[in-house]
Amino acid sequence: MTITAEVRSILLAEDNPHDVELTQAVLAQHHLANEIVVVRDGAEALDYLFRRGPYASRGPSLPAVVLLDLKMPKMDGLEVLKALKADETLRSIPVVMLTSSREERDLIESYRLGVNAYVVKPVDFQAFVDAVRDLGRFWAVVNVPPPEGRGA
Amino acid sequence: MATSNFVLASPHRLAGGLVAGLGLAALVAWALGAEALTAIVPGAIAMNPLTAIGFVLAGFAVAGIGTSYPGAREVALACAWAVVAGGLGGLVHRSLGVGPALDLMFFPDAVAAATPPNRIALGTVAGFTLVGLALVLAHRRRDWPRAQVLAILAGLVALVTWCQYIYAPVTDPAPRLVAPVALSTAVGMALLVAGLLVAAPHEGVMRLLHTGSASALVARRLLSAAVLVPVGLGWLRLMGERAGAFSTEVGVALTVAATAGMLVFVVLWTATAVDRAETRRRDVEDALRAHAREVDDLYHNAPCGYHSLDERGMFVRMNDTELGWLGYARDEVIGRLTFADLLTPEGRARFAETFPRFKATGEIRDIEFDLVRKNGTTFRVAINATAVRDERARYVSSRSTVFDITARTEAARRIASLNADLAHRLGELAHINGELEAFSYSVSHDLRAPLRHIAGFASLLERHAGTLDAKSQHYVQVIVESAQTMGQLIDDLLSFSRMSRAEMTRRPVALAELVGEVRRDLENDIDGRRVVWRVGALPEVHADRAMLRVVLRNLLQNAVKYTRSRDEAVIEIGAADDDGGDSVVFVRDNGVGFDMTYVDRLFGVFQRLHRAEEFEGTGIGLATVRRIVARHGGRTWAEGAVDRGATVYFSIPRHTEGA
Repeated sequence: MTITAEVRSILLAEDNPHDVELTQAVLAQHHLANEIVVVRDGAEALDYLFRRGPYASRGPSLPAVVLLDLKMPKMDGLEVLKALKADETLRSIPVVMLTSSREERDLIESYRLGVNAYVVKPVDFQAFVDAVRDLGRFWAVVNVPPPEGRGA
Repeated sequence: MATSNFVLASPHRLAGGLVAGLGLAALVAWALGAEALTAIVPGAIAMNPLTAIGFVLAGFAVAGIGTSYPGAREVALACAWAVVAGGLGGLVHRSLGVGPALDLMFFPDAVAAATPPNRIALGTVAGFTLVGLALVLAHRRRDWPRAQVLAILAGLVALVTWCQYIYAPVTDPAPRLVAPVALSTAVGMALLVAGLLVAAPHEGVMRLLHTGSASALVARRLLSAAVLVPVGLGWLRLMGERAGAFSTEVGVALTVAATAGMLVFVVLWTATAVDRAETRRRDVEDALRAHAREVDDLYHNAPCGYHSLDERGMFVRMNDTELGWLGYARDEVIGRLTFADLLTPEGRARFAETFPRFKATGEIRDIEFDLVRKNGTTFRVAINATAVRDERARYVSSRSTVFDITARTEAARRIASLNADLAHRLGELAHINGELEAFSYSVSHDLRAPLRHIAGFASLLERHAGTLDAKSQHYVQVIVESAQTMGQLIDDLLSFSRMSRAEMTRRPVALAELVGEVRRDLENDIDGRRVVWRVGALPEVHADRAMLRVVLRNLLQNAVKYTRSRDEAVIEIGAADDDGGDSVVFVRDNGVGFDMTYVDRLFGVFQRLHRAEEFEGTGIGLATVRRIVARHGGRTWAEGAVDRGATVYFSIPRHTEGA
């Protein structure tokens, strides 16, 4: 097993500042060393991933995992997911839908577009903590990503 | 076979043939000098050669009646003319002494040698004249009435001869006319007359004998009586006088009385027969009139309109029903109005197109028109018609039925309007449902986010426990719990709303298997408690499996929850069939029960009969149960008593083969 020593980032696309704060707090509490990059809508998420606009000058490394909120301004989570999975390079990045919605059609549509996991944010805080912690651990630490620049 | 049929079907051919044969035989006899043979009885008069020729010609002419051989008719007619010529010639010569003596022209020596000389009789030439004319009329003009009357006259002439032979010895020439008629001639003449009369039994006066009616029967009987009775009476008188039984005066008197008596009898008998026939006819006429009245009533008072149009589209007939609808009197319509006159301009254009088509095809089906009443108002009708045609298949008139379909049209219009309305409402409903869904979606998403934040930040605050005193910690705890409760409420409410809207897929569901699954799900809730399950025989029902699972889960969960205080919980599940196609399923427990006073609230949304600190819950479970069961067409109800357990029932369609 070759575990990359390189610290890889977690991209969190979330428009609600409270959710951002809660998620950051939980990840920090559990010492997930990865750098958390927060973008506030779907368009910004794509700018980051495709290195354009304000992110044109960032390094070429890809995030270990993308946590996508379903409902965001400008461009929602499903659209970001679609754009991501359509790209030859980016499609290998694991995407987790992190959402309040239990609506079945969102679930079905997400899996149709190739999401890697779908997590309903629980109201119960402890459950939320557990979910975010497990996500962070699994995708950012345990999971072995495909070699850089190649498809999964 | 063919020949016998030919003769039987045309007995006149047989008669004609016999007569011609007779004539030919006589001529042969003359030629051989054996003319005495033609007298039949030794010592009687022989047949004159002219008579024999007349028989040959007339026999051919009779046999030729109705023939279809080419040229045969012309030959037969020529024969007939020859007979007339010979007859007339003989008649003129024998009565007036003018012209050639035709009867002496053939075999003159032999004829002259006879004693007395064999001259043709006046009766014979008169008979040939009549028969010849009758044949000409029959052949040339098919004038059977006259031909038959002439034949009958010829028959009467022959009767004179026959009577002479009956009343006096055949060989006694004394009482005869100047030149007596030979016996063989009398036979031949009788055959000719008979042949002429039977040649066309359905024409002229002969028709009267063949109609099969009472008059034919009477005529047949009277005719034979009219001939035979006078002959017989005359013979009796003659015999009596000759025997000296009575004088001539007495003989005449007796004959007159007998004849009168016979006539009286015949008249009375005929009158009786005619009266009987008349009565029968009247009965038939009465029956016909009654039938006609019935048909008339059917026509005029039928529940639909009837009319007939001639080839111009003019009314030739219309029944009372239709006249009543239109508000016209019969004489305002018949022969005065055309169908087009009763139509709107639009209908008139259509009629101009359909009427010629109808006359050509002879049928038209369910053509709709608006008819204009006399008062100007209109009503909608459906017309069906067939055509009456003459023997050359030309259109004569229509048989049209007219149905008033105003009510039907109006009903159809209303149905269409109601359907449109319904479609509109359905559209609205779909729109409202869509909005409701959007609402549920935002509730699910947007309402839960702030709750999560409340719970989340309160929990974070709790972790800084050192900075809070006990009371503050309690407050934080309440905030966290309340947020969680509200989250649960929102989830339950969404589930309730989803159960109301979700599409149902009904399939056969084995209830026993589903109960088993739900019981396994609930094992965590039981968690070491003593629970006795009594599951009876459960049917297969026709339902949406996922929804039915929600129902059972709610009911069993409640049973487990409300028996929590019992040392041993007893939960019974059973079913029974009702009279309709439903099964009634019940879940009974020995738990805390409820007060029947509040049974109505049991199935309401957010309605609870227990305090939250006794039994947790949102008060949506039974409302969801009722909603799902109602969507399956079933009912829900409950029985219980405080501290004595509760039973919840629901009915659901049974699965039947082919359902």
